[in-house]
Amino acid sequence: MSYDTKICAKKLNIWFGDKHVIRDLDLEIKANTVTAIMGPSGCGKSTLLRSFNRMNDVIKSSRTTGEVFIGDKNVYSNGTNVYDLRRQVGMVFQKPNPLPKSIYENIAFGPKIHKTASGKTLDKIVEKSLKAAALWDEVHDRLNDSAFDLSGGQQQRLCIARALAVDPEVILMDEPCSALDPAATAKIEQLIRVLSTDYTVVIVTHNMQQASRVSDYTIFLYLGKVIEEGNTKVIFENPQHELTEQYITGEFG
Amino acid sequence: MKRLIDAGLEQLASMLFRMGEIAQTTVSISVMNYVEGTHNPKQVEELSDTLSSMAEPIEDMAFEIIARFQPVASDLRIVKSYMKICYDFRRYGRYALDISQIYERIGGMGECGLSFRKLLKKMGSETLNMVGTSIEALKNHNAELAKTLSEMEKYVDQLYYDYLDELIKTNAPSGCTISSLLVVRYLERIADHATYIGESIVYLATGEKTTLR
Amino acid sequence: MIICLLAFFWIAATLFTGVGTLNLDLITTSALKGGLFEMIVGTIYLFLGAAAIAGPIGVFAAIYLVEYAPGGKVTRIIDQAINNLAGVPSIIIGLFGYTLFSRQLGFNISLLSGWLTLSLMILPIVIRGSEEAIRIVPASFKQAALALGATKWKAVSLTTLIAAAPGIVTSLILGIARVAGETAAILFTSCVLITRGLPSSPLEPVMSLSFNMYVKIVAQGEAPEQVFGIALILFFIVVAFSLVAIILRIYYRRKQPWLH
Repeated sequence: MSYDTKICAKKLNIWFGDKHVIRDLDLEIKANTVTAIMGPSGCGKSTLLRSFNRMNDVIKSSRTTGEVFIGDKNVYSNGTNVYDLRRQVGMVFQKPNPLPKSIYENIAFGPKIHKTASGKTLDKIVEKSLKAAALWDEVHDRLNDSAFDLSGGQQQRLCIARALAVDPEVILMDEPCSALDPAATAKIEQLIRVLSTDYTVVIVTHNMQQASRVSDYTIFLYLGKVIEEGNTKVIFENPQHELTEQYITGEFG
Repeated sequence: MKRLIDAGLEQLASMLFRMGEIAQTTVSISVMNYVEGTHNPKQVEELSDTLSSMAEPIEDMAFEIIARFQPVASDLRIVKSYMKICYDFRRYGRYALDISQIYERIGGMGECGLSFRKLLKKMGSETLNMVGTSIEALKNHNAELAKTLSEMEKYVDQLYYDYLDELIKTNAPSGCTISSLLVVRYLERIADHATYIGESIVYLATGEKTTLR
Repeated sequence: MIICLLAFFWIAATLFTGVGTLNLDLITTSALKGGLFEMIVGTIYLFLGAAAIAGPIGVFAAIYLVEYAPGGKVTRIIDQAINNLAGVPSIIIGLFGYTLFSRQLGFNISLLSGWLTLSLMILPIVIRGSEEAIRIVPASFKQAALALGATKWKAVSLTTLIAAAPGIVTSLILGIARVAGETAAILFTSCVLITRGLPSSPLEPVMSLSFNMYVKIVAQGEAPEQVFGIALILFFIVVAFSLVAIILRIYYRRKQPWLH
């Protein structure tokens, strides 16, 4: 397994209008690992996550300076194809958001808009993605049913499969389990660990136990800056920074 | 506002400190008996039994805290260390009992030579000192104080080897030599456990894993 | 609501007295022979054409307003303008249409002028209805599409629009219901009392049910009761369209689980 750096942020600053949300931030995320980003509400976790696939661009008042490298390319440089970036860096949202289509059409959506597959190849991709998201067994005989017929946990796995269908390198997850019950959460956590063999996973979470269960590395963010980052084991056993200690032991948060 | 886990940690701490006090008393009485020639075997026995019965509730409490509160960072280190220290306190009690039993069975150091008696007195007092320090350091989570146990342990080791040298010089084994040999061994083990407690305290306070021996 | 129902049934009952003057022959016979054929077809031509013009323009305008408009002063002015247009009395729209389309653009009294004029009346209804249908669609669909690498247009057209389609269609049908019986707007712009057969090009004038009723009573001095039959047909058409809109609404409600 190579531990090269997959995501690298340098002097990243993000504003929403006048609000300076991410301040002069540097960080590195290693390939094929699960990295958790933690921090109190409002510290900029989701904003940081969305800077990796430039989803902040969608918000009119946002302004970003600095660099974010995915692999060796700065995604904020002028020649970047944002649409291909978002294919390469997939995203799963807090509340499952299946498209108002069938299960099959949901998964096929990505490849269709990128024109990467059709016909039988598309069928194979749909199957492969659903299997990779541990959902195939539950839906293989009803691919034409509406995605809304699925349970919350299944819908979220559908969203993961949908992101996998366009062959990404990175998967971003913004509190993917916060709307799910414990059993569904457990399934997704197991899935995340399995996914890290082939993808780089970055997960924003409020839930400390989830961060400690699921991640290899943890980054603690506070008021838009990285306070501490390191091996999850070390951070949860012996954090170096006072703020980190206070946050994870629940003294503020 | 207090965290939910704080109530549990406080209760665990008070149970452990209580056990520590009793352990200290047990070792004190046992060693003083031996060194001064007084007899109090029943008391030592009862105290040792009490110590044994205090261990399990402490372990249960520690496990309950882990299961219910999923402690992390310093909280986690405290729970882990307290469980280890609980075991070390049990050993204090156990060795105190051993000393008392050997003393009652074979006899004290009254018949030993002066040089032996001097060494034994010193070892006894230094060991009691270490026990006291370990408990003091625990009460305040004082890593610096805990680290001083390292020096003390070296001294006790030195006394131990001096004793062995003296023993080799003697020719005829007597009741004194046998009982004092065993007692010295127990004292040395008590000193070791004091340093283990010191190591746990350093870990709990700073996250550092050291060796104080 | 009870008053509305009562009024509805009273109107229906009154008009129904005219059913005696109707029969199937009348509907299929040309006006030249005393029938209503060209009037019915003319009415249908008028509102279908207007819908064909106002529909796409209205939908795209709605998409622009919801998804692309920058939201500042200009957008608010446009918003207000649409509201104003909806409130303009139809006779004034008719006059405007006559001036612009019939006279200045030279279309004279024709189907085309009627289409353009009526579309001005359908437009606000379609824009407002489509806007609402689009706004109700959860933004999460668009987000999901964008996060997969879709361009904004693809994200909107392939998710939001498709989900909003039932609402958009409903608003179009309501727009048609509004203009199907319109008289004042087509008074000067497109209708004549009688034509030779159906118009062969949009530049020719057309006959319509409402215009004919108006002329019969006002110009030809017939008693209102005589035209109840024609009125009934018109009433029927309008009610039918409204009902279709309602049924579609109810049907598609079930198919939009994200609404609950």
